[in-house]
Amino acid sequence: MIRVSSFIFSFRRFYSKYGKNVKRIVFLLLFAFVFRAGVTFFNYIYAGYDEWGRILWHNYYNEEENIDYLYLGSSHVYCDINPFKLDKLNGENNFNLSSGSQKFNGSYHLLKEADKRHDIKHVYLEMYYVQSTGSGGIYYDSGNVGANQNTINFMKISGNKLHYMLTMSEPSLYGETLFPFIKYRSQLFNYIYIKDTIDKKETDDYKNYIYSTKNDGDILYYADKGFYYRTRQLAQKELRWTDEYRMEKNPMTDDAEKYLKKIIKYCQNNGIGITLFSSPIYELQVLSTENYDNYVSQLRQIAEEYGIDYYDFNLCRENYLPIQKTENFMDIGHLNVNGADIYTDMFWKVMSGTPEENEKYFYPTYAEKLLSSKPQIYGIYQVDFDGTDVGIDATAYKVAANRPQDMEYRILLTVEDEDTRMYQDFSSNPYFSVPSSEHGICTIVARVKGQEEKVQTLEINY
Amino acid sequence: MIFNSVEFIIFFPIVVFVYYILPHKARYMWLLAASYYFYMNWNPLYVLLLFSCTFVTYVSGLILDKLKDTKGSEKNCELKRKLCLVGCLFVCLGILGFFKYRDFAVININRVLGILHLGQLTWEHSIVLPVGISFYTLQALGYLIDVYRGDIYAEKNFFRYALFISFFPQLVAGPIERSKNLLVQLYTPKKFDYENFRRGFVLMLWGFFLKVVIADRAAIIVNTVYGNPDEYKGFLVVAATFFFAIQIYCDFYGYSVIARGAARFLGIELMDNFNAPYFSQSVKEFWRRWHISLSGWFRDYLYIPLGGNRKGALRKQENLLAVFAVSGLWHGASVAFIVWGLLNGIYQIFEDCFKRIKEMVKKLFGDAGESANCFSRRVLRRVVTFGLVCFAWIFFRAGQMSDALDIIGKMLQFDWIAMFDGSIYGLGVSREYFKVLVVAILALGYVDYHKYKGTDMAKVLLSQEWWFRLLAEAGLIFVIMLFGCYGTEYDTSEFIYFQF
Repeated sequence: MIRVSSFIFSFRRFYSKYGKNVKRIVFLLLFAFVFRAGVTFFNYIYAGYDEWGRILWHNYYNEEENIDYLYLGSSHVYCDINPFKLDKLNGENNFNLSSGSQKFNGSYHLLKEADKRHDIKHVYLEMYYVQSTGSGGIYYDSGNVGANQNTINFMKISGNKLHYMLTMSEPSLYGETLFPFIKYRSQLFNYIYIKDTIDKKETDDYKNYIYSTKNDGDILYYADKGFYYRTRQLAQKELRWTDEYRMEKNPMTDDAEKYLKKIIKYCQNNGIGITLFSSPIYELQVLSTENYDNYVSQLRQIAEEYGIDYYDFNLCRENYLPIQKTENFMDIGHLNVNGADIYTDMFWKVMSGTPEENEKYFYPTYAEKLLSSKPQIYGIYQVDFDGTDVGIDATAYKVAANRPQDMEYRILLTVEDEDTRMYQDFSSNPYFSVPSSEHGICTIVARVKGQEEKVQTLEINY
Repeated sequence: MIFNSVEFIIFFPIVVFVYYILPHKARYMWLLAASYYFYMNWNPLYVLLLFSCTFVTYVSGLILDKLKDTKGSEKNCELKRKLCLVGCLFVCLGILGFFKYRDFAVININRVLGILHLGQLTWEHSIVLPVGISFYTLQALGYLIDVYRGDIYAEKNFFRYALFISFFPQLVAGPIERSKNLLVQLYTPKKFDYENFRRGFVLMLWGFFLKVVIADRAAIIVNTVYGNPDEYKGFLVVAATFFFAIQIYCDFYGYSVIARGAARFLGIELMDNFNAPYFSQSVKEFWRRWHISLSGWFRDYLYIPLGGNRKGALRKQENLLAVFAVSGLWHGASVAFIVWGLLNGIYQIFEDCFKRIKEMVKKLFGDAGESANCFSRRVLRRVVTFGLVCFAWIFFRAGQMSDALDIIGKMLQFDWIAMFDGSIYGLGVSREYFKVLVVAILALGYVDYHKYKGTDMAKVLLSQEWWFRLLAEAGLIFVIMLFGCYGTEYDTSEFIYFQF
């Protein structure tokens, strides 16, 4: 009894002395709780999360085995490299911690994240040129924030995550980074969107981190270990590339170079091996850069500076990597599961060999590769309008050929419900333009000059 | 750095935290450093102007004080003091004039020279107007005039005085503080006070609400119409003008409230710059409630020295017009701003005449028996006052006389159909967001009406039960987060008064 009354007495004394402060602290804690609950609620009803990022990070955090070999980079990693196959080939645990449009700043923070939890032996860093040159190489542009957010939304809270958040964009976008629902405010009154978002989040597949679709024989499945399994095949009519980027000398931006060097130094300082590589993309895209060797030589220079290896599989000899067929690609940039199968074999063959051994697999330059292959065309790519014959509002294209000086083209344009019109009969001019509002099929008939009987024909949507 | 930026949201808590862990003697130095850092975020070079203005007025203040105490001929001393004051005014206003009115002066001089066929002046340098120069110049000059008049002693501590001029919450857009209020507070030791935090937080939230939910959303409508006046007429131009009245109020009031809230966190009370001005029943009353610190400055340092209302009715009207013309010019270097100022002056002259006539009629014929203060009369007065103020805002928003006249012309081509056919939703704000804007304006009206009646709604909120406060404050945060104009889809817009 005495004890109870003494407790009550002490409590009263404590309360009279500190009660106000305790109340204030409780209020602040409750405020934080209500705020957090509100953020969770609005994220739930508005944030249409990127499924790839969500599942990837779920798989990553549930990876019980040590990750030995880590693959970082853009979608060209998760589509092109099959970690399950690599596990068998090298007997180690391989994991693709890659995300769509991942840039080197993202790769840097993801590497740090992985290094905290795993004893990484080697990092393979993919070097898709779009993420490090031109506008894609400007890392703090608002246009690049989305891709980073798809990754960052699912990382666990840490100093590394905060650092990534604060360096991935200009401060005006911190709100969207910290509170994902803010990004979806354009859907604020779109009740159908809200309903769809909630419905999606209520499905068993969503809750169990499963994503798969099947459509006309195209199977898509987000597999474990960061592998994007897809059977779709690139159709001939899709051989059109619209990015108008052309390679200048040393095309890598300062942002990209800074972070690439940070990654290399981080690995070297922490005893992690690192190799740079570029996955094969469809020849049309490589040709559209018009001087891909500028990029290759800059990367070789950086690799040499740090004493590391760089392999560009776009320079691989056809007899070692017979990949340049539409059936190996799901689109112009990415391999499908067949292509990934072929490429992963060759990838590991190269990665497990010495530079001297590997020399035989590659052409010294991309230009040499083009010269040594038989003349052919790969599609069309958009170029700057050069004032041709259809007025100001026009879209201009160029035929992508490996040896344009040896070729001539007949170009036919067909708009639905209209007769086919001939843009040009066999001529060495690879350019043509159409009104921007016009859509149809262009038929390119190509032949080697002086070999009139043998032609190659492509029918492409424009 | 603007208040509605993430930089400020990071900067401010750091400033407050360090402020309270430092010993009192070092605090004002910390605030001074923070204020200069805040200012240098716009243009580091322009901090030299701020420093020059501070230094010149500080030294002049000391000289004025010294001369006051000097033994000798009183007349001689007074002359020296006057010279010192005029010299300092000349330097400070000269800097302001050079940066703000240079182009305006050159254009108008060339206009005159052109008429007289005397050639042209050339000035091809483009100089950006230093942010806040109009505000801190007036604040410094106000201090100096107070010292000259002997209302206050000159501040001896340069750093404290520099903080008075550059105190970051009110540095770039006021309120234009008086030394008697702010400088004195910088002396008083400030203890951490939870109540200050609570009040400061509520004020800042309200300010952000006004700025990003109302002002910046209304700005979309205003910019659409005023940016393309040829495409709109009648009701839509009237609506855009109405929304501009709301925009400029919420923009400027929002800034002032955030400034007050921020200062409150630091234990400093800034003056309230607005007092429900759109509930005013006359233009005169409007100017007692709108930008109170500027109106007060002009009253004390220009209107009264000119003679105020002590030199007859005609002189009073002249003084009024002069003050409002200067006020217009202070806002912007353009004829349209002067016209805006003069219009507000003319309104008041008419009000004065109307009042006199009414009194005369009353004297002659007696009271007709109707109540001068009935509800309908009050509403009518408010509507008329608001209409007159809105009309004057056209000149303010257009910036150029030709544009303003163009807008007025378009306004007169009234089309009733536009009121009902939903064209208002085609001005850049969707139907849903328009409803949000209207609800937000009604909320503002509710709060302002109580303010007009003398009730401080922040105080009312803070006196509520904890659960109510918690829900209200968290709710307001989410309203700002969801309905505010910021982020990828919007350009974070500066406060309108930064350009002055």
